[in-house]
Amino acid sequence: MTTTADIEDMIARVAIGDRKAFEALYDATRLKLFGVCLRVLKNRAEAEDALQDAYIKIWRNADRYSANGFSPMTWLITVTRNLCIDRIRARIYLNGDMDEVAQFADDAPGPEAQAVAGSERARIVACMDELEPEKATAVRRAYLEGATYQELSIDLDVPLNTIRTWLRRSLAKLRACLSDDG
Amino acid sequence: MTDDISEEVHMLAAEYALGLMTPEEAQAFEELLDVDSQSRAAYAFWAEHFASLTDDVPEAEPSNRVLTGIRSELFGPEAPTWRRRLGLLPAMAGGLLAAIVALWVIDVSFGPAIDRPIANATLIAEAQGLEVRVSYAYSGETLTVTRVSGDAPEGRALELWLLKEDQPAISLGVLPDDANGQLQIAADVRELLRGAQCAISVEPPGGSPTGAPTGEVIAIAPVVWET
Repeated sequence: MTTTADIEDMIARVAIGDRKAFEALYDATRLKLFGVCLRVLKNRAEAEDALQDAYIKIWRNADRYSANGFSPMTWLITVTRNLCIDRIRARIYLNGDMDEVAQFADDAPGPEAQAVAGSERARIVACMDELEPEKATAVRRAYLEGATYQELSIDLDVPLNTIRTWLRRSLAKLRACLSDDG
Repeated sequence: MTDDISEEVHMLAAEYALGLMTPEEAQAFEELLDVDSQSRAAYAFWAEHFASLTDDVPEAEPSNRVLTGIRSELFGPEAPTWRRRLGLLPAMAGGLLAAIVALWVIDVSFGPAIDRPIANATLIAEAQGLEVRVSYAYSGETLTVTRVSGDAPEGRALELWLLKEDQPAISLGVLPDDANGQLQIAADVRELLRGAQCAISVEPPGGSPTGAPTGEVIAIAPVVWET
């Protein structure tokens, strides 16, 4: 059984160019990350290309991981998911890239951020249930399918100039629920 | 936790994490991330929670071409060199590397005494309590290796590497069991010593089976020449 600490250790070794650790990391995480690629891209060939890009990025940016305050699986999932979203956007739009997560990581990790890691996984599922179903769906569609405000506006039949306020209200609710210690 | 972070920063972080911003907005937020720890904490908060949305995504097995493609991209003939990877080391915080300290010992030499060491590297892996001194003399076809303290982990070997510019790491051999020993060094490798670095990695008994470091690199130090 691979633990969070094991993954963290592998990433630390990858950061100093340890290929064996990199292959171990691939073995331990490829099923999960490929699942994420398939879920987002819904196309096996494209998902495999995205997975390859993700591990290349992980190898190249592992040395910056330790400072960014993400738990190790969150970092891996976020790098992978963002590359997949980039692919979706590249299909349709010429939009900004979502690569920053792999890049940003200079200053000290925020202790607050570290404290979130791991301890509250899946809490979001419970909190999403407290939102109106169409709002929860909008958040899910944005994260897992790369839906933009424009697409959400069309899908939900909410005018584009109010969709942002509409979704932000849900995000604020979500945050209150997620931060609630009770 | 993240309660003291303003609602606005939290909303921006959530929109950024979801990828809902325009490219201009995303870029502006990235600039904020670089300088503002609260926005980083807010981003990490949302990234953690949103990543949990993948908890129920079924796992899936990619085909072998993915790993083959990764290997050829990263470790093929065009692969990044040791120097490039090692150049990034100072950027690392915490973890294994924090335990590694490289020290320099420079011998003061009087006159051109031919057998005096002219180059030294002292490799220290603090976490392992290991200190190894490597020296090279003019006339030599060998490196003198002295293990001042420490030993290989149980059932493992310590292998010495030469790291030079754009070349892959060159094995200088497995450290001898005795505290003092010699490693043969080929003429073409001797010529590379100037401006190079030494490193020690933990390997299977007998050394790396691949010709490149496979285990943890526990110490790195430049080769220092007498002036």
